[in-house]
Amino acid sequence: MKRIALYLMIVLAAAAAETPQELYQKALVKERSEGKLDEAIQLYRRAADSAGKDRALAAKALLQLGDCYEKLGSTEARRQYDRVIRDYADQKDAVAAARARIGGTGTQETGTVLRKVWGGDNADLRGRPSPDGRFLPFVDWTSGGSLAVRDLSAAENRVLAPGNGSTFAGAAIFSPGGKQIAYNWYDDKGGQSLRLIGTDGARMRVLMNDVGKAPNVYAWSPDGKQIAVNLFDYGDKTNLIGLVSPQDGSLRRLKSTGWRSPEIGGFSPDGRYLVYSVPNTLQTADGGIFVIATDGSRETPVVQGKSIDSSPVWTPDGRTIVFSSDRSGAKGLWSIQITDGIPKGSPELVRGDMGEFVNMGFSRDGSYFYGMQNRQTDTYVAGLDQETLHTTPPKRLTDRFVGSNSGIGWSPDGKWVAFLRGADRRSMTLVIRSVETGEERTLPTKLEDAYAAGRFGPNWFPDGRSLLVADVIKNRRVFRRIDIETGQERVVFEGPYEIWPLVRLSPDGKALYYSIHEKILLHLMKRNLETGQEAELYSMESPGAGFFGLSVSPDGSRLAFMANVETPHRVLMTLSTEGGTPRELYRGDYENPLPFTGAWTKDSRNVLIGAKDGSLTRLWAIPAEGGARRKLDVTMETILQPAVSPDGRSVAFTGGHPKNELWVIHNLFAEARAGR
Amino acid sequence: MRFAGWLLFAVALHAAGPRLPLGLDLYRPVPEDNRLTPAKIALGRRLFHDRRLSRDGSLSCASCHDPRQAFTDGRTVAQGVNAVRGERNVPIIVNRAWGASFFLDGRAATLEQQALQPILNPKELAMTPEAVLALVRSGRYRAQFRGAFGSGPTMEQVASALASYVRTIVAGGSPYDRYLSGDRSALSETAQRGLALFRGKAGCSECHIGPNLTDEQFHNTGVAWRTGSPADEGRARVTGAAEDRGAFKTPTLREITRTAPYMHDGSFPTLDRVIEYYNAGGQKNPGLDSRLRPLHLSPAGKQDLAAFLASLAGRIRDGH
Repeated sequence: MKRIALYLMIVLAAAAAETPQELYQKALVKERSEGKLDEAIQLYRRAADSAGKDRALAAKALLQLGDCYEKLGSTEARRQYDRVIRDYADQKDAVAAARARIGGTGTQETGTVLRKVWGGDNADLRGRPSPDGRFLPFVDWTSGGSLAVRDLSAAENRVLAPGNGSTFAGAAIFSPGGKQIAYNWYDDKGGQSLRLIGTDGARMRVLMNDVGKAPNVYAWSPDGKQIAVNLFDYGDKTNLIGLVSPQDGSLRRLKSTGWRSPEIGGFSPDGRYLVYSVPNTLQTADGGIFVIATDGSRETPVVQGKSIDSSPVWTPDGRTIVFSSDRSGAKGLWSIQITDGIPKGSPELVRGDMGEFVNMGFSRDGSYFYGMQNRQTDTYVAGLDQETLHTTPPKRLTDRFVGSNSGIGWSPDGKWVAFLRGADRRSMTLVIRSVETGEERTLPTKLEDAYAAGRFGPNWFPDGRSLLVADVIKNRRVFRRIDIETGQERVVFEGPYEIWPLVRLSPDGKALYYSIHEKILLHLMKRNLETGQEAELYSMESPGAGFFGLSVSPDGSRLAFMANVETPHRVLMTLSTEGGTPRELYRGDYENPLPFTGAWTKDSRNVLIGAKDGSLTRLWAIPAEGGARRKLDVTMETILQPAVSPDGRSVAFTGGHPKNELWVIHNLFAEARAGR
Repeated sequence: MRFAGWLLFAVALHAAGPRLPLGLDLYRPVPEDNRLTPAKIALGRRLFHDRRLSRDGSLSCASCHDPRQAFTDGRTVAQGVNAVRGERNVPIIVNRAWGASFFLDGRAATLEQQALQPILNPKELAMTPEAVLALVRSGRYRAQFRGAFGSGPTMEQVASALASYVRTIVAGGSPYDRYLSGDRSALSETAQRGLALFRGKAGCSECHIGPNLTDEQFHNTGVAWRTGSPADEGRARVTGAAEDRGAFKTPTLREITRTAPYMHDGSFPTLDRVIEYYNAGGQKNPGLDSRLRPLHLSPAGKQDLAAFLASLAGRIRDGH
């Protein structure tokens, strides 16, 4: 009897776990916490199919199903969104969300309206919308990095200041009256200036052009008399929140923030305050969001804590600051009330789980603009025949956390790969994955800035149980050795920020190769990790920040690397690991694809490079002894840091489909007010 | 009517705050619960210079932090009442409003926490709280405290007043500041070469950064380890951490030519000795800051560096 009762309980419990709601919740966990999209898809599908009369749940499940497919880059996403719109017209929120995802306009029950106003290959998110919300200044890379303005209503672009690839525009903001634009301009000597130009393209003026300082433009005061910048000093690598007069370019030092780079969110509507954020350090949680009086009389912390709080902007009425935060576990938009520069109450969630968004602020009518940076970088592996250079189509290495995996390195025995996972450079996880079984182990790291580690990938030490990864602390490059068994870390090398974070270990793990720039001189260095002794292998004048695509031949005898030479050329060279004179293998320019990333094949006969081929990036093979380059059948929007497996039969790389989108939300707070 | 105009002007001037010397941030951190007022500053200044705040009436804060010597005393280590020898060199106290922690080992988090410690330290002014209170509750002090705080006096108010005054001791307007502001003639060619070394090969700006030329962090430069073990535990006294043994806070370099002798123990009488020490890479020890390494500066390079350091002398101002 007892046995029957127990059996019944088990059956009932199992049945309970299979309710549509349970399936939906399980699917959410699979999708958002575990990143197992394939399993999530199955569960969402089952939830939708079994939802029966619960049409709200069915619609939600289909919406999520579409999201999963979208993350996988599948066109099936569109079919699911269409199905929601067609079959669940009574579910207005879900329909609005589905429309928004397709790119139409979604009006939700709450009155919130979402609209994608720009997307595509040349969408750029460096500028901030005009006060009337009609225009966006941006960097037009299709015309060499020109400063351009996009009419968001007419979907038309207009170039104001032409770039040429070597000189180009950066961040840009409108004046309060909408007649001028303040913007950053980069010259071909690595300098950065602050400029003004009329929206008709006339009356360009250089406001600041101080060699050794980079004035990053952020906001224009409501009275038009001050422009807020972060002035980065190349000399001591420190940052300053400064106020620049648009009349004469004079600077008022408001507050130094040391090595931490502030993100200035803008002036309060009355012009009395600036809001900005600075990141926490590993040791302290003294970063956060601050409001500082523009006369320097007072500063007040608005939000502080262990979460990553950044990108603050004021609402047009000046009563609220909205900011990005991961305090709920996922990156979302939060708000806090402000009265006379003082925060009131606690932060409140405005919109949750927004992904990698850029907080771009409000237009005068209260419309909220944000950008989506869909980098969608992933680790890929393609088969490689080093004799014929034939390849198999690249496959995504993992379906977990699609779009958030980058930087890959093979273990010395080729049985494991290590890469970085995560979208935020301050909270990335190191993943160790078995090539054979796909089993993954994750190591949370203590990296303060995992950008370089994610971009260039970890180096394996020959013991096969420790990795070398790059970090940045207080504007110094720090290279850590991480034990993948214990997670223990120790710094093996640190130096100035001018060290290019792409470093490579010799196959025996005893030497570290790196490059460092000193003004226009680039030095290629070899460091003995046991003795700390260093030797310069090669030095040349180059406008680049480092030697790109650094790669050590499998036998450890040669290096391959690239350097910018006179614009627009970049050369691929090889050099003995003992130094000497490098051999130029390939020279790229605007006609021939510019190489930017490289790896040796196992037989050391070729160096594989990633270089543009039309609108895509292709893997090419450059013979190490000279000769014509050969195309490999591997293309993608971007291909970074290829790495050939120790057996020479596979090439792994970071690939991606970078895509920016600009969205606008009307009636942003309606949703939050409705308690959703 | 004229008086009203003057008053308005004074109020406006006060609201905008006094103009700080060139090179300093407009924002001067001041705690919300101890806002700067002229009354508090004046009271703090008086306390700072009052010898009755020492047990035998021989010393004041200003005895060690002598305004005529850039708020230092020129001695190797501090000297307290009855000529008691202290442990450390007297630190310069300019621009401490922007400080992140106080004392060479950072044991005080705020100027308010710091202010009373030298007064009550038996090796310094050697007062007792009762004696301090007896002094400030007598004579003109009582009225001045009432004017500044509306009550008191209390020990907390003594600390607040002293902290307020110290926040007004500012240094800037040096040739270096003028140079950074765009006056390229403000530094001699020698000093400009020194600046390049300072920020480049010599690596000084690894720690001496920003407007106050300090990162406000603690570093083991090996000075405390010259006998093989730390003669002064430094920051480790506060943290107990092994890696902090012999580490001290990076001092400002402003007015450095006026603040000899140097280092936490005053063991280097001249700037040349300091430069030689860093040029040699510092005293090796288990926790030596990894940024220290032999610099291989040429004799001319050392002179350039010294010329640059001399350019950090500008104007010191207090009481505003």
